[in-house]
Amino acid sequence: MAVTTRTATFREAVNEALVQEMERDPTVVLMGEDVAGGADVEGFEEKGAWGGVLGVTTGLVERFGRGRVLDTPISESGYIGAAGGAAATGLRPVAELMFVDFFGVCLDQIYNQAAKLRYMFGGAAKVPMTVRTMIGAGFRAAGQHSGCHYSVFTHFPGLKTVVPSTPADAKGLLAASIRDDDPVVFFEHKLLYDTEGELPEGDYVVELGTADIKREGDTVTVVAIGRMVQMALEAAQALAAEGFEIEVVDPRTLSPLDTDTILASVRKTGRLVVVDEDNPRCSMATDIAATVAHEAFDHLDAPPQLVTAPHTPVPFSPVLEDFYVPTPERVAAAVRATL
Amino acid sequence: MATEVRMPKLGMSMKKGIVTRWLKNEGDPVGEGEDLLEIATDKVNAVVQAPASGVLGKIVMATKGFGPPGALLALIGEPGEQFPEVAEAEPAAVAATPQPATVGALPRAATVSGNGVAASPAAKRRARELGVDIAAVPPAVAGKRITTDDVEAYAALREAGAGGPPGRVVPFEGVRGAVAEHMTSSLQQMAQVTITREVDASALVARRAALAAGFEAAAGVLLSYTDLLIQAVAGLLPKHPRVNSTADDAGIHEHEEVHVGFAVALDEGLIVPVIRDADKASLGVVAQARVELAGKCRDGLIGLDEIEGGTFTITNLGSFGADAFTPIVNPPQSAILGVGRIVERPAAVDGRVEVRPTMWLSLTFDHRSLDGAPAAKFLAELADALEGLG
Amino acid sequence: MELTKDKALWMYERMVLVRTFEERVSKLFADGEIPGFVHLYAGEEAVAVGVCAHLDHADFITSTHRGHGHCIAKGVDVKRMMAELFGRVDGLCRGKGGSMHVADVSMGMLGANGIVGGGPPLACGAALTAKTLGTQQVAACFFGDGAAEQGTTHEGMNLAAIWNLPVVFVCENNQFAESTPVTYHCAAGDIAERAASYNIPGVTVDGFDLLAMYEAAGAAVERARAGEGPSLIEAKTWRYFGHFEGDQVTYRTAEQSADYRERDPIKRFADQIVSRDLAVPGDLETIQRSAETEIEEALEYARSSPMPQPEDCLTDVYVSYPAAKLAASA
Repeated sequence: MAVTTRTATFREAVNEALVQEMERDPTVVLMGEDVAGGADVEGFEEKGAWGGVLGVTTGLVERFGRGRVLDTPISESGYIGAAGGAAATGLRPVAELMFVDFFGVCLDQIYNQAAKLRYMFGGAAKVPMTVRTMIGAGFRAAGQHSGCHYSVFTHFPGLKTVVPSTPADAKGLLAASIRDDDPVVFFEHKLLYDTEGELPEGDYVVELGTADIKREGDTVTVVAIGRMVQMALEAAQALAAEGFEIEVVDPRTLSPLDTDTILASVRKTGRLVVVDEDNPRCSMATDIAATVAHEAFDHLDAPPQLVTAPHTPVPFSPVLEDFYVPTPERVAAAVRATL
Repeated sequence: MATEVRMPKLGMSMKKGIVTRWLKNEGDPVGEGEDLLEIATDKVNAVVQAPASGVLGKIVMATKGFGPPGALLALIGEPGEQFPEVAEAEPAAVAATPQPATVGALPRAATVSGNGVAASPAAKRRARELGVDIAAVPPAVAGKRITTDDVEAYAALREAGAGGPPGRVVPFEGVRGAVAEHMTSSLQQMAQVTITREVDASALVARRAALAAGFEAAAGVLLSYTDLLIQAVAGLLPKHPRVNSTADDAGIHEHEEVHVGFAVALDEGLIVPVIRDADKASLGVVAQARVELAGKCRDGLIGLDEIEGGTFTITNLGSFGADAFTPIVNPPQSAILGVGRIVERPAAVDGRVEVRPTMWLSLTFDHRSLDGAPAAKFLAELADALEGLG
Repeated sequence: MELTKDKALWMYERMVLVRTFEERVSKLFADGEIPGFVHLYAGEEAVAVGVCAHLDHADFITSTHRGHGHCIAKGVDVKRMMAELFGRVDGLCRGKGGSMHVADVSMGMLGANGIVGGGPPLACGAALTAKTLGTQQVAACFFGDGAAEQGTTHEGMNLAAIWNLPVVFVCENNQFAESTPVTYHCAAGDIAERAASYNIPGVTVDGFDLLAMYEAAGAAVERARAGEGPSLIEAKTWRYFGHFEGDQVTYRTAEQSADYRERDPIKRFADQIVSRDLAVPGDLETIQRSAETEIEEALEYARSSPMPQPEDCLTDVYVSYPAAKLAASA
């Protein structure tokens, strides 16, 4: 089936998925701080002031009204908990946690309530909630607005975690997340919002739990998450000039993780590099490396290499922050270290 | 401040050295001048001594690691000093001027083989699948982990062989690797031509027979044909400066001094020690030098200064039964003489067939430096000299 | 507010059933038959029953760690509750929740909750569903005086107020957060006073007086159902047992407890309905016997229900997920 595409930004892709799902299903409601903006201000009854702090939800309140696009107080526990309660009782809410770093003030409602209800109730409940949240360094936003932290959520049973790297994946995976009957945390890297890519038109869904090979190669398997896919692809170009064709695997979903695709790639290449912008301890990088060591030990020709952020908070000063984020050069060096 | 220990440059042609053994562990105290590690190059083995006193803080290049002259080997510092992380193949080290590391007495020949080198899990699995003994597989690069590629290459090599049971694979490392590289580069860089001439060896045989007993009694050495050949060649070379030359990018260097090398066959490869100023040496001196140098080669005690600087080389396969062969020039020299066996052959003498001891001489020369006619002239003069001994 | 005979007898029956259940569970726990933590509701029956008397099965409640009374008041099946406390496959949660998470979503009971203050945001969410879908359902949110100091409770009340959600916040002020008295942990005089800061009605009620509870809850539920927004009811009450079973309750005096027992809400309601001719003593005796029978049957049911299979640990985590990824690493 031919899919029509157009060039669009990651931001447009997220917005389009929300429109697509809200039109498709009247139980989908949006809530979050300033997702419309300007609530109760005269003249803003039918329109938003902001459309999200970075404009991702622009136009939605105009389209679906304030009854389905809910500005919230700055009460993450309150409204994210409410999203869980609403999900357990018949809505399909999409709650926005503006920056993932704010999870500290609402984690109980995510991991102790939404994520565990189904299990604690012996399967008698379902919680089809999506938490959209912004991640990532590079905005000079310092320690409390720049983390990734998807490993924290991936750790919790009951949650699914999704980290898209392209506009097409953002649209398809967000649609799948909203349609999914389990709670999903959907991580959007703030530096990806303005990146462009081919975006499939119309109803487009990417199945959760499926990795994508962003570049084929047979020398080294590079598993890269979110924005790090870009770093891996840039490194791939440099390495290709040296005669090394690396395979870039984008897991896209961290829970459940498509280990089959990762392992098949490693069995082909015998070498693994994981590129992860999150902090290194108890991370996706260590998890993937451990899985590969366990499942494909006999196929490894070199110790897995991990390219991650350091075990520090994200610093402010540009010089410091640039040091923090993995670069294509570090990826290439890690690849060479496996050869 | 830590003192760096770097790979010494043991001769102009040294491209890399391999760490064969550390004599100290990290944390051990070391004194300046104390033996620190053993290294091997393509030509020689050497002991590197500590350039400073202190504690061996960090071994940067582990055993079986290798690197060019100047590569960082270790850091010596104060007890408890913290050392920065250093990448093993530190690129800057290649260009850096080597820290003067002292080269001391040369111990026994070290062997660097693929055996004992770590194999990757994938390589071990592949080896099991292919029925390959992982211990026999050499790594593609010395000191690096054996990979599936190495196992498959080994298996392919075995497949391409006699089809019999798998044989031992000796990696191109150490002396073997150096010989391979040296010979290949010789053929790649030079325009080599070999000319041959059969020589009546009657006079040579008679000369050796006449002198042998006296030499043995006086100097305790067994006079060899090689000694006589060295002396004969050395006597001619000053008149043939283009034969007694070396070449490099700058051009042809014609040498006034005559340093004749002779090939010594060892199990691990060929070494060519050099008899200096051979044109000025008496036959006894030549014989004594040859015996001493060959012995050092066998014992792994040959020094770098004893194998460098040759202007011409003689290689004698006569004692191994070869009639004639085409030797490969020993770079950067311009010519090499190959000596075949002396054996009685029918010879035409004054219209009659006579049985005489003869031998084949082969002169391979670099046509870039030397043309056929002067080369042939040199060979003819050598033949005349040998036939005219008496 | 009009009280019919049927409603009066139903409320009496629910209170007696809660009391009988809890007293039996206390013994079962002491005998070692029930594993884990158990927090008993005896003494507070009038609060849950007075509120749930105004709710039907479609309405929602969120509960606390002290949740048995809420379940029974909401009409949840007692046999399956008991089986859950026993950790059996026929339990409401198939043995995965226990006393602290006993739930029956089909009855609008969104679970006992092990996190103090876990419920208010969930109740807001349930009310948001009702409001968005226009179903007229109401969510009652039970929480203790301890939870009154949690941020989630304040966030939930504020959110419900600004969104005009059909929530009835019911604070069961049994005067102790575990062993810490409300006089210490609460800066307010009455917790209901806090309603003022959310611009919602707030009343303080004698939680031992079912009729008072019934009145107050009726007004709040009616207001919520009419789309007029949330209310806060603070019920002053007392738990007969400790914070949890095994608690020696050294922080309260025997005189205090005896005094409350003297004013027992079930006895008090019995007197009230008999004096109003809504019941005769025979009705009450029948109800008592029937409750005892129901609890014994529930016990028999729980005891005879099979234990789950160990591997059942791996189910019910997600609606859909690769099963192999749920197993423990070797």
